[in-house]
Amino acid sequence: MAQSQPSLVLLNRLLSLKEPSHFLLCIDSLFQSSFHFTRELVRCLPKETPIIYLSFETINAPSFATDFLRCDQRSIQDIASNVSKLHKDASSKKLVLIDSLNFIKNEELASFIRSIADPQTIVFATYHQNIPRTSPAQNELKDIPPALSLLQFIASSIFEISPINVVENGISKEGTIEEEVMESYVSKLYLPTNICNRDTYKLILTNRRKSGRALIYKFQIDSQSHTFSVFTEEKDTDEQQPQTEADLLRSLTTFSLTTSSRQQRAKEQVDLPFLEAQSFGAGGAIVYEYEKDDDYDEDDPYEDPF
Amino acid sequence: MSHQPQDFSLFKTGEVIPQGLIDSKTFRSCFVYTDTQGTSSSWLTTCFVENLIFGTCYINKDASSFKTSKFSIKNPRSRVIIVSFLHGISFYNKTWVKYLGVDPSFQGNENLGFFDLSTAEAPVDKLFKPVIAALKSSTLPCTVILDHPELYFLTNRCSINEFMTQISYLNSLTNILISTSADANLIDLHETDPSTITHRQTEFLTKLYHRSQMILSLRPLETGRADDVTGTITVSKGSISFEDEVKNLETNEHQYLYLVNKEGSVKVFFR
Amino acid sequence: MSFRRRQEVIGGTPSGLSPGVNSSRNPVAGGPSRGPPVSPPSRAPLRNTPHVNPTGPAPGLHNRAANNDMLAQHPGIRPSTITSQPTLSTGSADLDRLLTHEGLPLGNSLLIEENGTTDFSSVLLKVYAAQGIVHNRNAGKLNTHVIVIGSDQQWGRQLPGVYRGSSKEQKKNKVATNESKVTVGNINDSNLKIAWRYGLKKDSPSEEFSDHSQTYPNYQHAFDITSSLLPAPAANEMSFVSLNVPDYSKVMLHIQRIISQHQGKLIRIVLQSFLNPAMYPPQLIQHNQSLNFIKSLRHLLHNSPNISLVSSINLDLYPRHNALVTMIEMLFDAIIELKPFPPELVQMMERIYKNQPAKIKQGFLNVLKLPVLSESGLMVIKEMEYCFKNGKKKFEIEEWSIPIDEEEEERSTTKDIEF
Repeated sequence: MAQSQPSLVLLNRLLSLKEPSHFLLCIDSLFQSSFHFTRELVRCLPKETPIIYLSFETINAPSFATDFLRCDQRSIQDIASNVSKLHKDASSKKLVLIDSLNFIKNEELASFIRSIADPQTIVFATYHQNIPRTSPAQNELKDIPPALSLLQFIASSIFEISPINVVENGISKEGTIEEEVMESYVSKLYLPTNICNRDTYKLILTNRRKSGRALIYKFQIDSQSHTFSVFTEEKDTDEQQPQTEADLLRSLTTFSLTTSSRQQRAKEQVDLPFLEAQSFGAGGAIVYEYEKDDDYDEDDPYEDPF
Repeated sequence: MSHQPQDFSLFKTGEVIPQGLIDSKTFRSCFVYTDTQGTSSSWLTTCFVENLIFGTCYINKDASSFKTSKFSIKNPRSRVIIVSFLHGISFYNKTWVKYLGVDPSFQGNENLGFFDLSTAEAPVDKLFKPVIAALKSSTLPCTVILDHPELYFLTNRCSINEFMTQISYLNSLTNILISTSADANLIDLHETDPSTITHRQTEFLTKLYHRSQMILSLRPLETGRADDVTGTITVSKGSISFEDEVKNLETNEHQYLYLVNKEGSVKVFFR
Repeated sequence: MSFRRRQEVIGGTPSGLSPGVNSSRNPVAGGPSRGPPVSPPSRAPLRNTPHVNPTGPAPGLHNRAANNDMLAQHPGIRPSTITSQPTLSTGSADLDRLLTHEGLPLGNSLLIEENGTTDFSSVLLKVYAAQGIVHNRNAGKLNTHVIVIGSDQQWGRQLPGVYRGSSKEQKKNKVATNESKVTVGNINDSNLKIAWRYGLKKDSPSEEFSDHSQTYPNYQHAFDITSSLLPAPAANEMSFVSLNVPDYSKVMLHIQRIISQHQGKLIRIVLQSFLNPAMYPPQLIQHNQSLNFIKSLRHLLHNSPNISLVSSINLDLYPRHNALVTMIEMLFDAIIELKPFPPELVQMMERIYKNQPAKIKQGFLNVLKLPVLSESGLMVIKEMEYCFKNGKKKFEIEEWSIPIDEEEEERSTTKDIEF
């Protein structure tokens, strides 16, 4: 059904290595890692495809990996020669999975990818965009472009993964978060609950074609049910919702009399410093603490706040 | 909005550290908990030690429930090795006497080991040698807690990648829990100069988050100080999930409010 | 009446013998406390130095039993009001109270951060050092040693003396002392002893103690920052550690050597104006070096039952958003920040409180960390909740309250009445 969409066909062909793409780059973040997407890719692969897993940060060898190679203490030449020795005479294409490209020096990245990828060896590698980039120590290497630009340039397909901000049922706006807020969280490395690293997420695919064109598609991936669908941004929600007070006020004045949904949510999240006063079970007690400059007269019966 | 004390759990099953994780022969987990200046995480370290050894949690039940546990320090659920870059054992002993029932002069034993690396200057590849030796000789399951390891790499010549390699090696032997600081001043995702403290700590944190199953963040209230709340504790999924032997573990993502009082007892509330 | 006078007179005498006093009148009193540097007891430890291994673990470990004895008897130590651990006074009663333990628990460190061009923190460091010296002088034997890192003898000569009442009270005392000279000469020894006892029991007017002063009479003193501590600290009371070195390991060795020479004493370490480029060579400022130094000091403190440390740092040189400061803060047990008021606020306060000069304060005092409590997870950060004022006789800390412009209020009420 949805498979008839040309973009979904392309995605499936890419993931099953049927497209002539040697280097698939996956860009992920702390808020939605490539963990689940990597497993979707593995599901789509033709059976018997050898998977060579190059681990720079993974501790537990995944069960799907045909070969698991710890790379964090090896030179790139050593890694490349090890990879080329594996599954030399496999009849089908082989896949080299790299868990993170962030551990390879900028100046070595391009040659590393080139030394591994060939028509029979597809490289699928993740780059974590939140890890701060490191400017090279030596001055003569300062002109090398940053790793992410470089990788995006040499990749034939780019998968960019981000959290899907809308809850599954899509009725209320609860459980969503605005990009602006998210960015402030990113800068503090704060992971809001039930938003990050869920098994449903958004995928932006940039595919370079032979013709030189680059096409961009958006998908929603559900790793629970393993379904892919085209991602559509919700725009028409206003029409379905009954008019609220805010809408009525909008046309009456040029002043902003309303709170935006974001402000509203922020307002609701504020914990007033004294929680005792907020617990309504106690029945509206006044929490009073005597302060230095309070003028408190013991003899005055009307002074006592209790 | 009620503020009844709640049970503190990291998993949907209500557990703090699940038995499955301790029992697993092949799966190794990595949990990170971060703190800031106003919200020191030392009480959480004690909470983890208690839970690993006794299976109880002093935040949830009465503080002496460890005494009724079928486990003891002599017969622990998991052995614990604390590698502290910030404190000596005497710092922890004060709370351990109360929550683990150890002697005030306790100096660590094979089931609850303590390595004080607060002034360690050994090269990074030798740093964990005694810890690794202890792990390899152990016949019982072990869990390692690293207490503020950034104090090592910020004061010694050692790149983050070299340090991560050592952590990987430790992690390949055992489950690890890492506490580290995440003050806003230490984080800048756009810093590129690798000689700065900010770059090193940010690189460490981000790389650590990408290899963790669980991330806990202890932060002060954004609205300022309150007498009846110390801060928030956020339980979030890490970048990787539980697989294979422990694939059924489900993180209980949640944000709690918590209160530490002068006697050192801790209460947790739902937000 | 005559009885009362006698009490005053003779009660004044012991405090006259005590340290802060300008002892030109009574050179004999100054003698014994100056004596020890040349007397054998101080030479003995010097001769022992080669046997002490300065690279060994914390020197405090060598002689733990002796130290414990010392701690039990030292007049400058009392149990913390919340954790009961041995605690010493910072030399400022208000700061002691703010730290919630009624002082700084031994083995703990305090960092005083200061914004702007003012130098209030050095006042606090000096009373901290002076308090230690005063304990020496009061006890009549050396029970405290002060180690000053980065400064020289000059600094030691600037320590304030004990506060001896307002100028009016002082004059009265002087007259009384002169009279007493005659009186004392007339009474016999046993009477003198009784009178002394009376004098000790009575709170001398110069020392404003709260309730606990009864139990710990010599715990804390008030200092007069316009006077100076005489005689100036001798070499057996105060040591100076030079920073003119390529790295901190020499500094640490020097500190450890001094500590091992002063076994069985309370050690107060002063680390003034940490990382001030005028005192610290550039290579010592680099974060891997400076953090390592603070780490070693912290390790030393935490493993010795008889050492405390107070340090200051200027926030104009090293702002709080600087990651280095965040890391330094992580390694200190207690931190306060002095934030002098902006000039507009000072002017406003001067206008509003022109008739109540006592209400004029000098700046905010922020609490960032408290000993023991912060590390066990309590949130103790209090910003803009306290203010301070450095007066002649004490460093005053009070809760901050926003000054209310009563004039303005009056004007508005009169307006209302007109309506």
